[in-house]
Amino acid sequence: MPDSSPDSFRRRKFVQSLGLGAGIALAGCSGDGDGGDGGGGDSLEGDGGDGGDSLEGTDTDGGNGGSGGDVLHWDAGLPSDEQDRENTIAEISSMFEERTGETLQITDFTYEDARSGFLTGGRSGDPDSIEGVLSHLTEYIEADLIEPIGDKAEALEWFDGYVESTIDAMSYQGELYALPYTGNGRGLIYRHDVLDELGQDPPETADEFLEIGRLIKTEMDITPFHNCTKDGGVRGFQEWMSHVYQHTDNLYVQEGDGWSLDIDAETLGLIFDKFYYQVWASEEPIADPDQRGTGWQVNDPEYINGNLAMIECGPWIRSWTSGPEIDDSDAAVAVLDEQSAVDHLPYAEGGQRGTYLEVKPVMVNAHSDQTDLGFEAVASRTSPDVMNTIQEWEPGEYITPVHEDVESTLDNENWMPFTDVFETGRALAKISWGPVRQEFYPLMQEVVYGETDPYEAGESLHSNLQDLEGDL
Amino acid sequence: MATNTSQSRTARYGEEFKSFLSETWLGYALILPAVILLAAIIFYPTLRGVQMAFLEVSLLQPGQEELVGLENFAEMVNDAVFRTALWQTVLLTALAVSIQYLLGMALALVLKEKLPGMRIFRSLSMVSWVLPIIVMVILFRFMVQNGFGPANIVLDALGLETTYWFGDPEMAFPLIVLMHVWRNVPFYAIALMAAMNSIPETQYEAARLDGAGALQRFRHVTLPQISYVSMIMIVLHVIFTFNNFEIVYLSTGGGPLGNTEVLATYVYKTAFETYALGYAASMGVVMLVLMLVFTTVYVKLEDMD
Repeated sequence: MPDSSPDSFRRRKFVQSLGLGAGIALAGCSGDGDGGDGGGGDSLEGDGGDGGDSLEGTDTDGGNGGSGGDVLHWDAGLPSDEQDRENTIAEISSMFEERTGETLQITDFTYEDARSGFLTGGRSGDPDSIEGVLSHLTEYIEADLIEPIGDKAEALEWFDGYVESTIDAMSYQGELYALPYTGNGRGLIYRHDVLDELGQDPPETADEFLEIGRLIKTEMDITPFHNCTKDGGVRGFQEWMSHVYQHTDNLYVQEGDGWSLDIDAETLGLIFDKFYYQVWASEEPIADPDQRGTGWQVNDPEYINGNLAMIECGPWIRSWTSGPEIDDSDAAVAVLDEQSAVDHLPYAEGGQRGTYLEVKPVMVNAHSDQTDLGFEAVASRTSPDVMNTIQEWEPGEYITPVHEDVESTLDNENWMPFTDVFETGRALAKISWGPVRQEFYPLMQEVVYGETDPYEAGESLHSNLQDLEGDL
Repeated sequence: MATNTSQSRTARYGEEFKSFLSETWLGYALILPAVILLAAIIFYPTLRGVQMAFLEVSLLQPGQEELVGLENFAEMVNDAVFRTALWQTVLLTALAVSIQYLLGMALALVLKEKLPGMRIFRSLSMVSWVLPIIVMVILFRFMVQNGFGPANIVLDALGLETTYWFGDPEMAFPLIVLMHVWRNVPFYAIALMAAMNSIPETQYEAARLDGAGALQRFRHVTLPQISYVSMIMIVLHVIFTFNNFEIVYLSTGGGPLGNTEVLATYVYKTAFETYALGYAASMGVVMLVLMLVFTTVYVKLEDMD
């Protein structure tokens, strides 16, 4: 018989309230609890295993790889092909086992997931080592999450063979915090068949670049150019930084204990004008205005599919000839092998050759209770022997190797200039780049959509970046 | 006198509490593990989030906290991006949930009919709901891609304008609403259909005998008896939509020109890009309070109804 006493009623209310509260909290936590997300959670935007800015929604949702082991390594730079990824993991693990007699567990992440997971949970001691991009290195140093490895690294028999600029990029205030395994510089990849037909050489300056772009637009049935303009896309930020590095060695320079902005408003406006306003929003745009707001997901495959004449990109694109984004693999191979060539990025008035240097670091968690083994994981991931083996599965990452004992995978004369481009690369200063990125995106989009004059945007950006000086 | 009343009330509550504990101790013992689990994964993080809302704390140096009182909340008042994100979140929630409910109801009425092939149609209608969000976003991005996206191919064939719709400042927000609707309508439909199926057929027959038309039967028989399920669906989806992060972040990142920025994406950027954990937590508290107020008021109104 049901109990209808007041006591029972209050208890029911209490339990109902508790249930309601828990329900709200659970719904709030789940964000969108409607239907399974397929397990591992949606991967967010990362810096891109391909040197691009993202692996949105690819098959690297975290927790894919590895053998069960005592030492844990997180890696977002593994090949996207499942078989190649397994081979790479096996090779790194085998080297680790050979050096230590222990087993290594390698977990596959996207860059963004690895970064947020490490920033929030790295202090628990897991993982013991982590792979990332340069901006992550800076953040992890700032957060005291990684430890200097200079002494241990110098004891490695192959240490002296790393390219000096890449070791500099891994260092801060005289301390080495990571070892590199891959690096590249952003260059102008262009269709030389298109330029040959128009009797043009690759552009050296921004004005030549815009002139050729407009000529292509009138004479040829192909979109002249595309760059990444998606809000929050890391690749878009890297492209912008490439042009910044044509005018200054670093956006911020160290002054005493702080940082000082090292570029003027006029130059920031000039970069916005030549590479965003003229490209997208002027009366004669050289990009397709209907592609505004897109990122690497459009930029790279559209070039590979033969729909773009010029892009700003790294060498990784050369190995991308199949997959759902590619219309015709044979045609893609022809575009990349026979019809494409590489040169330095064009620069605006007052600038010179320069580009964003991408070097990927592998680091040791300072909070790990086995930092020696963590370092061994770093050493295994970045050893020339391993690099020489795994370049077979990911040739695009080893076109400009970071170690003298690693052979370049470059076999095409048209792509050789990437070696020169790599040498003009400049590494990011060791500041926290998140706030800088957040100042850049809205103003870049305002210029691209023709909402703001590029020089006014340059003034605003300059002022906002100056305001950040004390917080970096 | 007042003291006596107060004492007797306290004693009575004490008695009730004792009987509350003693009568059903086994039941409480059984739910204890679940309560502990909830406390660990829900209540502690929530309380910590509320605490952080009153602190200045950086993601990079979480150990260095400084009490700033209500400063984070004051900052929100002057934060134009926050105001825009709040407005767009409310608008997105209102539009998505109301359209989902209406279309879900319509679909439920269709699914309820005993027509040939309806069982297969019911199963197929759930596809959008069970798709992982990332797959849905990739599908939509592909569909509205300029040049080769199916949506643009159709528009082009009809002589209409084509563009990359997620990059269009006017169209990106409606597309986000559309994605929510596309995803959730089947869930509404199945829940509402289940509620409709539980209504005894005799009630419809009685209404028919009383001369009620189809619209009147729906208004006076169906609607009142699906109101409880409707309330649950609306409350849950208001919370889901209000807090949703993945759909916006993966499709537009909050752009173009900030036109799809919502609170969840702004909180994420504040915490993980500008490292301002305290400020991000204060925005989270505002979201929590808004949802609690909405839920309480809505449930009360439903009770009164």
